[in-house]
Amino acid sequence: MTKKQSVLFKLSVVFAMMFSVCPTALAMHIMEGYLPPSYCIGWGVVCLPFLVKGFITIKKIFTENRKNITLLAMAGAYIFVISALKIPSVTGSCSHMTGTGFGAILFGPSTVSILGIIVLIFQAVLLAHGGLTTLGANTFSMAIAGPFVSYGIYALCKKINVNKRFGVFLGAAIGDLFTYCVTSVQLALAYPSENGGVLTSAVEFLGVFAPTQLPLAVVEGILTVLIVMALENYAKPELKAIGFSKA
Amino acid sequence: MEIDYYAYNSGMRKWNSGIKMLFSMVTLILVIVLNSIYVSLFTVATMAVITVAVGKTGWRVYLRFMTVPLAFMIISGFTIAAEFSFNPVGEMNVHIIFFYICFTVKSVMTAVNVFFKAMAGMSCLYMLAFSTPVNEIIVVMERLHLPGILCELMNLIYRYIFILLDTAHTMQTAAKARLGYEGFIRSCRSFSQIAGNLFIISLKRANAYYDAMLSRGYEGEIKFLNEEYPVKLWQVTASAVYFMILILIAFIR
Repeated sequence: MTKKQSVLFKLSVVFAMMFSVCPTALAMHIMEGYLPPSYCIGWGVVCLPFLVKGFITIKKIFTENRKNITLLAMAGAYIFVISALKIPSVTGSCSHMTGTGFGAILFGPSTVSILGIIVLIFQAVLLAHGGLTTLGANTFSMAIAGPFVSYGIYALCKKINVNKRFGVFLGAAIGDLFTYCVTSVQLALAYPSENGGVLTSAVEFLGVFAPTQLPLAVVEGILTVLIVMALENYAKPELKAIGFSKA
Repeated sequence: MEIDYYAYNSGMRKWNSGIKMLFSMVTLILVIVLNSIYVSLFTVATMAVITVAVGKTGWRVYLRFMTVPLAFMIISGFTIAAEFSFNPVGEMNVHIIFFYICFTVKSVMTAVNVFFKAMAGMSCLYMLAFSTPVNEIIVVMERLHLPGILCELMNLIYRYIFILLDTAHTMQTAAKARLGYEGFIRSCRSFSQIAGNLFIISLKRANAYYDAMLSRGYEGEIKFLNEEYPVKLWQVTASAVYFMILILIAFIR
């Protein structure tokens, strides 16, 4: 082996190790302690209106029928479990779904914002994904921005009569991509590049995370379609009960 | 979900959950606000000692959990330190084909500082997570006047997570035993069928649990039994001293 080859080999080993040592970190949660205090509070404040809206929605669902409390709790637990299960992946590293896009398509985005923040707290305390000071930023990217985009695209596709499965795929995949873009911008805002400012930094963060996040978004889209297909086969009445399919 | 198991077996299990939460949260806020690498290093060290020595969490376990977010830290730390440019603008430049990866002393220092700050933050979070089960954290939140519906929802979600995880695990084992995870396409199909089935099961269970709750007199409010542990004087003084030390370190250096 020449010197260059050996350097290349070592680099590739290091690169491969990064994926094998810590497989679960690729879900793009911003870690505890990563953001300066003003950003922790700022993102929390940005989330507030959405959370208040979500809280009002949940309260309404709850007063309509008290039975919905167990249903909502199950929905939250379901989102958590879906995001905790390893999904099959091409590269051999194990990755996870965000699950919130799927949740938004099933239950509506404002409900998912509240369920999402609870899931994020549990992920921080039970799985060490994300953190409590970065909760605001993570909530905005995963429980608000992603689900709202997913739901918007899904609803738009339904309106212009695109194939429903294709709409579900687009919604889930683009919602996932959007989550990753928002996270990159959040990181870039907190750590702007010295010469190029926030914009350069954002492009850098986007580029660095792209190799893991782009395939993940496609896989998430495909899986969401498959899950919806499985549900339509086995659970028509249940889907009707939560207002997903009218037919 | 191992953290939950360790939390129930922790040596600090019998401490008041409020003081544990206060201790870890104030330290966390101090680490972020003081923004000093010495404070971060001190916090990483002391929190590790508290969790491993006082909390009796195995150090191998602790080390394994501390390395969980390493990939994120390496990738994003590299991005903070480096800058991609067509001109060599940094103090250290690596030439790659047609562009440069540039590092400056300032950007590398920022990256190192953020790395240790994140480590310190994680160790605060672990100190809480390894010593306090989630239901006790929810009780503290309830004291802080979080709306009752949210607390009930959190309590129920926390319980249901374990039920669903168990069910999902059983289904995955069944699928594996039938070669359901051979190859990428088949794995995708197995995964989505499990996820779909899990959804139906969760809906059915939700109905069953509601009936069970009704038959035990549920009227719109769920009461959970909480064990109370008193706050001890030494815990308060120790925390106060610890916070003072952190602030002192930030000003002395």
